[in-house]
Amino acid sequence: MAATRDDPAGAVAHNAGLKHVLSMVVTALAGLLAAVGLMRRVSTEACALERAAISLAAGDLSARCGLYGATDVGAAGQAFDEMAVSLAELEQSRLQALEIASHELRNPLSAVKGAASLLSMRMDEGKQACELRPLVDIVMRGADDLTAKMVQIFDALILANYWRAMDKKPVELRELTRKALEPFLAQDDGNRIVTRGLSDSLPELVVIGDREQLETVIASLVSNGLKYSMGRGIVHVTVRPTEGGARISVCDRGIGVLDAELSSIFDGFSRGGNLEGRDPGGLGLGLYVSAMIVRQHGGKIWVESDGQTGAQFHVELPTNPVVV
Amino acid sequence: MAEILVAEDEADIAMILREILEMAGHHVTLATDGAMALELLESGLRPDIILTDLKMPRMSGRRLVETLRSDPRTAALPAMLITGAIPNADDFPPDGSYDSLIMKPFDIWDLVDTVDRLVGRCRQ
Repeated sequence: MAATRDDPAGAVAHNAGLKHVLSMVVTALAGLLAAVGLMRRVSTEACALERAAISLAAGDLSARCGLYGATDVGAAGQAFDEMAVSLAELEQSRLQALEIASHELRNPLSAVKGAASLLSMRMDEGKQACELRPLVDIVMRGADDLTAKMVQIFDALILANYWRAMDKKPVELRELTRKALEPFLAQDDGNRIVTRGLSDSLPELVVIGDREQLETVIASLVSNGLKYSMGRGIVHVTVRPTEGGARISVCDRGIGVLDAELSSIFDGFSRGGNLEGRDPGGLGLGLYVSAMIVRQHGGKIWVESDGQTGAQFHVELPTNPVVV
Repeated sequence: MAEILVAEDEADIAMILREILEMAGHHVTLATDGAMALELLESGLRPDIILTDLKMPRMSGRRLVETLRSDPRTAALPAMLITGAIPNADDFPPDGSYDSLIMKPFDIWDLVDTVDRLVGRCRQ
């Protein structure tokens, strides 16, 4: 109904109605604009995410979309960036593993190749067998070194990719530790192994385990302790009962483990970072293999260190006198 | 004949380097790391060339080369790297601070040829 000059009440109502309609139109327009803005933002974010995904798929591990979680797409983009960071770190670890393996295999290979070349020349010169012996010994040592490293790589691959069939039987941990330490105690290289809790007069500590694999763990921890002692080779090995289990501790007074490495020290191809240019040698697989063996025994392995005055490695295994 | 200082911590490789270089008519002094090489130089050894591994205990090859270049007495001493390490910024001395690089495993004749070339160039 149209308002007239004669009907002021109707005019007021008419104006109010118009205002109301106008207000609705403005609100709708504002909503539309906001929706368009949001759509544009989502569209821009989706494009950024798509570009980063395409770059990453093409092999550019530095690709990031730079989004954050204000929208669903932003949250997805943030998750994408975190995944890309993890992928880049994995790739870096893979390259580092290749670098370490390359270096550690090149050294013994150099010795074998050089000694073989010299042997060939010496034989052509008609040298006596006794004169060739030192070169033959170098070839043998190099071949043994290469073999040991290849076995370690193979073991690590097997343990990482398959649940290795273990020959688990009841084994007495004090006796097993004494046996594992024999090669170290027999070496006259100035290093000292100090033991506690290994006397056969102490109560037995029986665990269900693969004897050979558990000896590998102890040997690996002791070897690691001596290596990172850098000439201060005193390693303490202690075996003692715990609640429901047994603990083997291997403690050294070496260069220690940096805080940042405490969580990654059991990763494959991991080597100490506080070496200051010194090369400890080795593939960095000993602790990795040890951790996998311990976990496959239902146990746990960890390290404590202040980063300066040595490291304390602990292995805890469940004791169970019943064969399962 | 040249006087050669070899810094190498791997005993077997050091022995092979000594045999190869002595067979080629040179005199070889061995150091088990960079620090021992510097001690030998300080004690009066005057080599015509230094061959060094990179990853060694006490002092790496990188630090050895950098120390040599910063000392006027050894700044011009030819330095040859022998390494199994993949070239990267952390382990290698800066470009231009060393004269030659031989990767392990090396061919013994390549090694002898390179040493002879560097020593010959230095004496010209």
